Amino acid sequence: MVMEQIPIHEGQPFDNVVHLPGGTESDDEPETTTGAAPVEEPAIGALFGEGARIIGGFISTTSSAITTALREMAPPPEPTEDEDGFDEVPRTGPSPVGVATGAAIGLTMQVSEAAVRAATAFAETAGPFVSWMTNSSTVRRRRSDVEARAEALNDRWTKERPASEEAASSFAGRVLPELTNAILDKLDLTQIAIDHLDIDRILDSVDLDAVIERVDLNAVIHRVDLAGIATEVIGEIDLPELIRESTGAVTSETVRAVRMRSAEADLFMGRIIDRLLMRKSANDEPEGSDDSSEASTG
Amino acid sequence: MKVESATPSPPGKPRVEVVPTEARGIQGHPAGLISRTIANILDLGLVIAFVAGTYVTWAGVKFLWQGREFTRPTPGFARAFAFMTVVHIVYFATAWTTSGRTFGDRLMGLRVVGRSGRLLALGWASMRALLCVYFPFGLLWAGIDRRHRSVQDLILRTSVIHDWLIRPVAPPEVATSDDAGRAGIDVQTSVADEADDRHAEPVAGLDRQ
Repeated sequence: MVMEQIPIHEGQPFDNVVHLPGGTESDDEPETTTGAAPVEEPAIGALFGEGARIIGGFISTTSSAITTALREMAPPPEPTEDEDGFDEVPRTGPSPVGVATGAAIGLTMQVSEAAVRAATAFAETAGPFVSWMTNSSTVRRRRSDVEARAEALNDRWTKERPASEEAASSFAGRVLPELTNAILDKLDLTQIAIDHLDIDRILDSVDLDAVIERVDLNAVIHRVDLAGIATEVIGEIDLPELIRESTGAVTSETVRAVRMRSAEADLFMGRIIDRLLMRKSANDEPEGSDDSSEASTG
Repeated sequence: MKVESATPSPPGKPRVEVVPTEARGIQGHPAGLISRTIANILDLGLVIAFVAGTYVTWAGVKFLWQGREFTRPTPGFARAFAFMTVVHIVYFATAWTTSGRTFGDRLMGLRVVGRSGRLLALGWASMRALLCVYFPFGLLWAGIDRRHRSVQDLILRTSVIHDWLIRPVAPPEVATSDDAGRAGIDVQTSVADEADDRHAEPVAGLDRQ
């Protein structure tokens, strides 16, 4: 981007300052002498140069954006079928439009710099003459008249300034929303957010527990169709079959105890038989298995 | 063998375990001598009660029929024993081929299954009933055999397993023995694994919990 390459000197004195004799360094200008460290004002030539560069940058940026937009809007060229398929050379390099735009910008900037150099040279040459002219009595009188007229205009502007600013603000207040809406209608903000925002990082910064604490879960549950969900769940787990199975598996405490005690007695007797027959217990697992450590008899 | 997944979830509806937690470890494992003896005693008592009831009913009908000339029926021990044997065989065969369990088996949470874990066919169940009734002492071998097989089981390659569900479920592909330790019951050897006794495994397809 051209804008990033433009050196903008903020508050720093320029190296190529041109000092006009008389004029700005006169004792009549109190604002230049009251400061503890008077700031040296940039010369007009330097300002013209910077202004030309900034304008050139704007033109370059705008033109490249317009060129890109036009290129995206244009339908893609249909691929030409080359029967041989060997001599096809891919097109590389900038488009003619881009080259022409860049050349125009470059020429503009070169002309601007030349004009600035010419103006600077003229100011340096004509400086003494201009200084002599402005110090004459006739010119001083004219100058005081002009200053008085300028002050009158300034006072008038100062009086009308609030009303003007209010009118401008009102106008902007009416225009900006419509303009903003029109721009937003053209933009896919969701896609822009997806492309340019790190949503995971944003979510990491959100304390979801705190959010959940602020949510009234009971109200949320009341909004859920619990009956429908329960019906669906019962349909999924086949409740009638479950009840049928449960009638056999869920027995009374007595029956369950008899079953479990007899099973444990079987195991106990099996171990006694194993010992009597001096054979290895069937419950012994191979090495590496943890079943043996968990196995126990009641 | 230890398998990570305790419950092989079928592709269809999810299953809810209804067997109590402490009994899940023994499901599908062969039952021992004591459990089976208790079940057989209960069955024997039921058969005797049925025969006695039959006798009482017969005597009542005879009383109504003969009136004052009524005399107590005396079928004789041999006939009574033969009748009781037939009832016993029919009862066993019917129960094993329909649900895999008699009344005593149901009370004790047992089920008689074939080698693949499925219910016995009628002929196979009848043969087992015949062997059990005429040679009841074959059950004693279940106390000696490492996989709790009685003589009848050895002959017919059947087994009696712990199965608390009311009816057998189609055997899944994966059999597990994961919950044995939690139930406080050792995993016993299985009839399904005849190659190596030390690698205890439940009957194929019947360790559903």
